[in-house]
Amino acid sequence: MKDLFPLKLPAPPAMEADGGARLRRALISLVGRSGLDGVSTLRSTATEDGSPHPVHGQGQGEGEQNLRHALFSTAFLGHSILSTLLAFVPLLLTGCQKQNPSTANYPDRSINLIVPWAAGGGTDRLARFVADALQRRLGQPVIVVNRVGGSGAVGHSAGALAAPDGHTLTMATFELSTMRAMGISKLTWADFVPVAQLNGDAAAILVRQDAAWKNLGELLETIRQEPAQLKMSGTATGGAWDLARSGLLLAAGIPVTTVIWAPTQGSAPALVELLGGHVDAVCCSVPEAVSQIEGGQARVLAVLSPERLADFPDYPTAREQGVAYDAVGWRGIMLPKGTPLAITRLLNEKLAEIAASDGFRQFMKRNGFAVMVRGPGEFAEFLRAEDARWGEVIRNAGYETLGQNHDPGPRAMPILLATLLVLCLVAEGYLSRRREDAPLKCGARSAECGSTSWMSADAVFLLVALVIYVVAMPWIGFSASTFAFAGAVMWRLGTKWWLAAAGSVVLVVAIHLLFVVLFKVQLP
Amino acid sequence: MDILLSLLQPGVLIPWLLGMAFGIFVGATPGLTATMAVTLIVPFTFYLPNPNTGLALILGISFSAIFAGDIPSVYLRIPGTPASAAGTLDGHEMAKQGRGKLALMLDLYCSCLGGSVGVALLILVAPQLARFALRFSNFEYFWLGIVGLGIAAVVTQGPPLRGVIAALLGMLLSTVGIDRVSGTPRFTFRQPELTGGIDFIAVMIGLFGLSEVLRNLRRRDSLAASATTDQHGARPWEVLVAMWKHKFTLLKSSLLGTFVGALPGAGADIAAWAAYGLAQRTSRTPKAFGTGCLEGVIAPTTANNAAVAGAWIPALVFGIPGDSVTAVALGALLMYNIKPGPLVFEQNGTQIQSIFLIAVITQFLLLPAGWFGIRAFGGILRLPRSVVTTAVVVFSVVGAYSLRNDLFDVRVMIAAGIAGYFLEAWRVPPAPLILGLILGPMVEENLRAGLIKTRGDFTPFFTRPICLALVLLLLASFLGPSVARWLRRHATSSAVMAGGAG
Repeated sequence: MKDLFPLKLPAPPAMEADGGARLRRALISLVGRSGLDGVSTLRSTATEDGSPHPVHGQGQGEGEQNLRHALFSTAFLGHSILSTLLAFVPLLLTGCQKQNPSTANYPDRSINLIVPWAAGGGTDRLARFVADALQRRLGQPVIVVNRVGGSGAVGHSAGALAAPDGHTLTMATFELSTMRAMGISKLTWADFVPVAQLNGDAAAILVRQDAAWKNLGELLETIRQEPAQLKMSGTATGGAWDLARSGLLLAAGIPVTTVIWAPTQGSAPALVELLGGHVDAVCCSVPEAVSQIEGGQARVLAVLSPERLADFPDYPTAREQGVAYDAVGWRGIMLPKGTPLAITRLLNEKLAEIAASDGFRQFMKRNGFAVMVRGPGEFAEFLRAEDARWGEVIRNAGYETLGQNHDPGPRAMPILLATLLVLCLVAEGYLSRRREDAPLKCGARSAECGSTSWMSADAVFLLVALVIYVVAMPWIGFSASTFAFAGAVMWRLGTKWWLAAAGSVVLVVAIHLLFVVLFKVQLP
Repeated sequence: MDILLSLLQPGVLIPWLLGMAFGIFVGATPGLTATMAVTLIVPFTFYLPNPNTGLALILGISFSAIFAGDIPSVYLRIPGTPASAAGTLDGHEMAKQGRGKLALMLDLYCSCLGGSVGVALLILVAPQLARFALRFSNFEYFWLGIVGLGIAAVVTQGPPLRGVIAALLGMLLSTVGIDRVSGTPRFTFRQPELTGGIDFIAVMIGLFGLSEVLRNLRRRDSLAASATTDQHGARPWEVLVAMWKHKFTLLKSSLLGTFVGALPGAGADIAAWAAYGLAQRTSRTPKAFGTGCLEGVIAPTTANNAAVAGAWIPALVFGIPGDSVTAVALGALLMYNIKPGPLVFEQNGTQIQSIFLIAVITQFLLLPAGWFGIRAFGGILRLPRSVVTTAVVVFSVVGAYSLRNDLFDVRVMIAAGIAGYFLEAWRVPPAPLILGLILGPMVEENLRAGLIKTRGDFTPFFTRPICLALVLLLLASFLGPSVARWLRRHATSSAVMAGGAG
């Protein structure tokens, strides 16, 4: 029954996320410690049952009496709105208090799990499962935050640079082992404390179902005999699966450039290219291509793992076919360097529990992910070996010498665009002078140009306020800065000061409810 | 029939409608995207007893969010989702003329119809369409991007060269960040934030939304005037008459939208622009575009909802997502034990039938849900102007922030807002800039990947059949009007007839 209740997943945990934590913090200053437990019991019972009338907890104390009174009288309005609203009043007064990274009462607020890849991908799916399982075991919400971009560099560096207090975890991926060697980032695994590896999917070489090659040897033979004819794909140049196939070719004693690597944005578009006949083979993990394999459109020639995959025992490994090489795309949870040992231990313990659970096995099986669990020590060792291995592959494959592969290079397009832009600007300048309309005048919208100034005083005020608002936000917190900004702008635009204040409180609460509670956005 | 009955149970229907209301809200809030909403809802559907409820939620949210993106783009000129950027052009002009309600009701009806055509094609010709879509490779996507940029010249009001300047600026901005072909950083100045590139949604919110707010602050009474001065109501028959008058625009846009949606490399945003361009090029009154004409409202909104349905075509047939929403949905299907791919129609026949039925019913449910959304949004805009202005700015800030949980995107949004204000004062239109930002990577990456594949040979870009067709289309759209003018001058009798209809 509990699991079937429709509102259980998205709304209530999130309510606990900030409503709960902030309410708790806020109430410490409002009513003191004594009433606190009563209040939080009261709230959580109400949300879990989903009943609109709050059920009273066992807590005693004056603060609770007052609050119970307040909650009771407005219960029909929805107590969650009220409690969030209540949480703001003292929050605005006290500002954002910094938490001590003490390990004794860890975790004492919500935890962020940074995912360096987009929502909906394999890494994201795994992260969301782990977040859900962790929050049940830790008693605090675990919120997935997608920090996408820069081939994983953005999310990984955000995770490494976070405060080492155990409240920011990172779902690190394989790219962490290669990004320094590829010159994308200075980051390595040594900037993190590895906690637990959860998954490792071996790379595989796939061809179309109707392709002539029956095994890896035949494919490699064709590559040897007809250099620079076959096309492969799977990721961008220098991405995980490009490096995997480079390593394979090097291990087979074939120069990397004898295969044309067609860059794509990931395995899905690469499989489109494969099915459409635009490339000859794809290198990606088996689960990424499971629909195409099981649908009889693609065939696995070799799996780049030491042994055959447990979930797919029919596919031969590269080792069996005489090329001793394997490449595993791993995913694991990491903490920023400098996190107290006690927190690492606690999290590892919880993650080990999760990894051993039936739910996890079932989730991994459904998604086709291979379970590969390593504890902190083993994981670190593995990462050290990976770093060395990929550094070597990247050096030997010759990724520094770009331009060999007929790519016009990253600078060609910007130069072309800038040249065209300058030409167009010159031409337009000439033409507009002939048309006798000065380019710096309001044109089509001239009817609206009431004043001759470039910008009205109101607009300048708004912009200055906006800049101050954004600069101040990380320092004084989202709620306080939004309250100040919204109030100031409304007042400037002619609202009475008390209305402006009330309006901005409503606005802050509304945004808090919508974004934080509903969308789990972590506002600063 | 049994499937239909099982879908119309309250246990399915109520979450479905709630999901659509959620989708409306998400779509109408700039910065919140349908992908985000579906990602949030998917883990929670695993706890539902009936996978159909999960599918209903996913489909309901994606269709309603894409429609709802048009609501703020008509009233406030802020596209709620990237797919609604093309809808700002004529929709907001109509709102300024006091016909915002009519534009939105038209949007709603056309969205439902476009979605229905998309779903019909999904049911009837999915395998054929998907197989055709597979023939698109780098060479074809390159030309598709160029055709899209050609639209930049179309959507421009005023001197056409300024549209080209804006498009080039947008493309130049899109090269910031890690180059996705070679994996090397470009123009990042060692700033970690810049490695992720400039998010076009943040630019879009600033360029359209914030700059409009700044412009409206010139006079103290103009913002939100558009919503409150709806002089014309929008009676259903009025909308239907407008739709009947432009039935061919509707048909063209929904077919084009479905097809662009079915391409794995292009989504609803490109579909909307393409439909706008096509409608303008084939219209009898091309000059009316951009001034608040009905066709300019119908084309993009029909196409973007059709594209949502189209994205399911490669997803179901090949297990390859057509856009980011179906990418999330595919993950969910695996968890429901549905394995998309050529065998899905045999192995999970009933499941596929319920997906089709859900998609059809969603189009009907969109009518009440969308109507409610329009009413609610219009109500908010009746608040005092200072409140609306402030709320718009704060929502823009939070929306930009929530894209990547990064204040950097807020700074980008503000910079784009200021830039947009001055660009429009200099009569450089913002729409081509957004198009350049969206299509820049598509053009560049596919050109380079194509050249890598052919080892530096340009000929396949011109000799492959689809490429050739796209090149001819491009030429026709630029030379077409002048040829038509020439023909009309030489056939006076037909010109009289055409003039009467125009």
